[in-house]
Amino acid sequence: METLLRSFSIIYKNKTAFVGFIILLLFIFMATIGPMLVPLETSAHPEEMFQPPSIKHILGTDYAGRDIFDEIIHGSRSVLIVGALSALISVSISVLIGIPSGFIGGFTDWILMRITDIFLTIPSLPLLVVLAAFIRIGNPLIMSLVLSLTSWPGLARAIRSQSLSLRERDFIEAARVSGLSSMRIVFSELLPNMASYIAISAIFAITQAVYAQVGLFFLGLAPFTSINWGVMLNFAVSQAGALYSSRSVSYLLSPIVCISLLQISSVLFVRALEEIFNPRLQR
Amino acid sequence: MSWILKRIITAIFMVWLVTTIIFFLIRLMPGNPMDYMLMQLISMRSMSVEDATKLVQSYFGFNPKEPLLVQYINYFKGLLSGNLGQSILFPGTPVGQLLGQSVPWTVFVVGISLIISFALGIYLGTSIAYARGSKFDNILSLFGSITNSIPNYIIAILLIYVLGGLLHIFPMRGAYGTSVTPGFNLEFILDVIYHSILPISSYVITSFGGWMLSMKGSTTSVLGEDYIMAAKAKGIPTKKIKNSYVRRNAILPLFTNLTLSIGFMLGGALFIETMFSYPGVGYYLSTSVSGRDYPLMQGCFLLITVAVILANLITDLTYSKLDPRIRIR
Amino acid sequence: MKEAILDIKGLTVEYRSDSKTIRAIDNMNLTVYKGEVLGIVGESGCGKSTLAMSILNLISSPGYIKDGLIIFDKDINVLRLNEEELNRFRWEKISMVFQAAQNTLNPVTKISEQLNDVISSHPGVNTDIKERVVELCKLVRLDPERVLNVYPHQLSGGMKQRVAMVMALMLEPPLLILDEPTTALDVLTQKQILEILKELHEVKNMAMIFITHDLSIVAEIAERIAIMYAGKIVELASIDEIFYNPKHPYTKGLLKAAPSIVGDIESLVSIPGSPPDLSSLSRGCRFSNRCPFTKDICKEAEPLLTEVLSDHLVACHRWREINE
Repeated sequence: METLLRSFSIIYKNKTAFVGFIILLLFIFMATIGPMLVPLETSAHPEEMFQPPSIKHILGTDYAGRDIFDEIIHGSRSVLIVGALSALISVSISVLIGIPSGFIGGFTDWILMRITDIFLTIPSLPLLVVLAAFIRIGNPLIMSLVLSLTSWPGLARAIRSQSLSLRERDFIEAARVSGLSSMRIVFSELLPNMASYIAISAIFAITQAVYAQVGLFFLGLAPFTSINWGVMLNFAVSQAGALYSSRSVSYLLSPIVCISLLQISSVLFVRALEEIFNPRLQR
Repeated sequence: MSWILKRIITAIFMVWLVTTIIFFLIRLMPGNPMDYMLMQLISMRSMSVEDATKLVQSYFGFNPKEPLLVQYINYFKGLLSGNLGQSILFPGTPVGQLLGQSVPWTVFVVGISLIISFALGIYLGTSIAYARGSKFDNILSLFGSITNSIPNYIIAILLIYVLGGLLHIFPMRGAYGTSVTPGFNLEFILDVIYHSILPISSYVITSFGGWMLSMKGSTTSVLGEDYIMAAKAKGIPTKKIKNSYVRRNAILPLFTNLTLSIGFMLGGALFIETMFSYPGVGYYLSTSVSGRDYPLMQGCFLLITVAVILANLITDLTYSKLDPRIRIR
Repeated sequence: MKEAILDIKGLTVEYRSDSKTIRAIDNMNLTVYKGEVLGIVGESGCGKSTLAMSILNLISSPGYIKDGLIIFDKDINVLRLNEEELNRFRWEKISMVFQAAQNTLNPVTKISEQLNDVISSHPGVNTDIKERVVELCKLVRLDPERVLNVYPHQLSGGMKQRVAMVMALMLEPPLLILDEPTTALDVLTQKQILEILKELHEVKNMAMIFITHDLSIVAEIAERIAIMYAGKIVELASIDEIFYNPKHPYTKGLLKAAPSIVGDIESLVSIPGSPPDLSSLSRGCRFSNRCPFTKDICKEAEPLLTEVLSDHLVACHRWREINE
């Protein structure tokens, strides 16, 4: 409890990180509670298309007369879920590979790192796109799996080097000498020390996943199953010709602002996390 | 010397490995495009098995009917002689040709962007490290973080929309205009540069911040080193210390980021080039994916991967030239 | 008779960290004479490195020189020099061999290039520098061929230390400061370095300030010794006086704590307690909480340096009683 309070005060002191934190919370709220509060219309009202922002439609309407604000709220869910899920899978794989690799070393390390290197060399975005051509990405789970397939190598390497450096530290040596089994050491000594690093990496993984999935949807390289900010961008450019006329400016800018804010606030928040976990950085 | 050799051999090995993986990817994936095409040709166009097989072979570069090992060998023979199959979307055009004409565009834009953002980032990073804690530092660092987190295709959209669609200052697509004749004439070259400004800006705006912040961190830690203080004690002027002592040392850790960056940028070319309809490898990759042009897709993917491996090799070799501690074992 | 090369008057140096202000050096006076070897001895944190840096005006944030005067050769007011003058002054008039010289060389440039940096930063100094460098290399027992055209990581610790000495002497400064020059080295190399220093002093006859925590090392080379404690000089005397006639309880404690290789094995006596917190100093003598001879007056007023003999100063209220 005390550490939680201390963490909050650190976040509060750093203005930019605080702003990031709040915005992040807002997005999480938007994604979880939002869709329950705001209904989504699926029917088209062509007579109401491209209406500018008004009291009835806070952000205006899209090319089919649907309310953009509603779409944004519903779209956030897909973005955040895929982001979080993909980060979860990525981090899990990385930890499962990185920790044994760094901690046990030897042949295990060698073979795991060879595999990781191969995946690391293949550029992730092209791989993603090619996989998207072969695999039918029908739901968020499959999307998350495919995304994490391309992002775990970098993370695994980082976690490996962390466990490698921690392995040499005295407290691990002490644990070993006092007879703790390797498994116990990993869980009770190593992981807690890496928890902060893993948490920060997880948030970066989320930003990576958001970047990739929005990009895929935007370029039409993945099929649309539900409304999503990337999908909105795609429609704005393809259906509404947003780049050429200014009537659909709201339709174009709303997802852009949301995506950008999400990424920016995540990064700012990570800065605050780094300060919390590394007391040396604190002023 | 032997270290360089080892690196080169590793690179060649990686290239071989990747091409093999791609081969198996195409062959063994569910919904195997070759068998699919074969069936289509036989059933829908009533081609004979031999004719259909020949057609598929010319498209993909290997014969789907022969045993796997033979296919694999033929595939490699084809690769080494430059035969990457025929494009489906652009009938009659060999994949190799398409790739050949698209590579220069990608290298041009990505290369220039990398150089500009790296140089800009290094220069600004050193400056804010020296001005640590000042308003200049805080504002620029924040600005760098923000621009670095916005996806590059979003900046591309905004640039196209505002500077292209709205204000009509810059062209919104293509590598050069339709009214210009390609060739080594000044008009063409200027037009190419004109068309490249928005794509290059998309890359630079979203990546200089990363370099700047890395350089800031690295410079700050170098400034705390004893040899910097010793240099001051020797009466060496500040400018010289900044260049020979600080910058030369601070830049070294950034090279590990360079390999990642190159991979990221070449991958990101996918988005940017598609946005601008810029005829580089990324554009063709995304077009081939949308259009299910498997031979072209295979070729583009291979090329991008090989480019990344090559770029990493060059970066490693350059780094070893700069840090004497690596070279001499 | 004896001319001063360096005069330090009233030097006060502070460090600001968070909300605390640490006074590392407090109102110090010290004179260094031409051609002499002055040893400065004290434990970690007593301010001796800070003193060395102050002399070259190298103190930087969060530290700052609060007060004081440093006069070189009766002529140059060191703390008032502007940047250009300071760059010329440094290394030409006073140079320094740092602690752990391995870290004081630029890792990515060759030794020769670093030497050239020094030369080009000090135009107008004698042009036969190249020969001087070679001569100095021989004096410190380094082979110029071996040492000049390589990178720092290709040299051993001892070699790097000697390169640092060559660098420090190449402009023939009248004053050389050595901050723990042997601490990071093994015992045999230490001995070698000390011998080299003695030779150098004989040949070049420059003044030296030798800073260390090890009384036995400085005994080999110093003529006078200043004992520092918590930012102040507590005793200042010739080397014989310090060793055979110490007056300050701290000095005596230091002598007792150093093992002797000859004679009876007496039990080592370490000084109990630890140095005071320099951010919250009390009124009296800083050594009082560890001193076995403390009385009330010691806690009330700070002792000033007083004369025991003409060249022996001590800062202790009770020096007379203690030494009956």
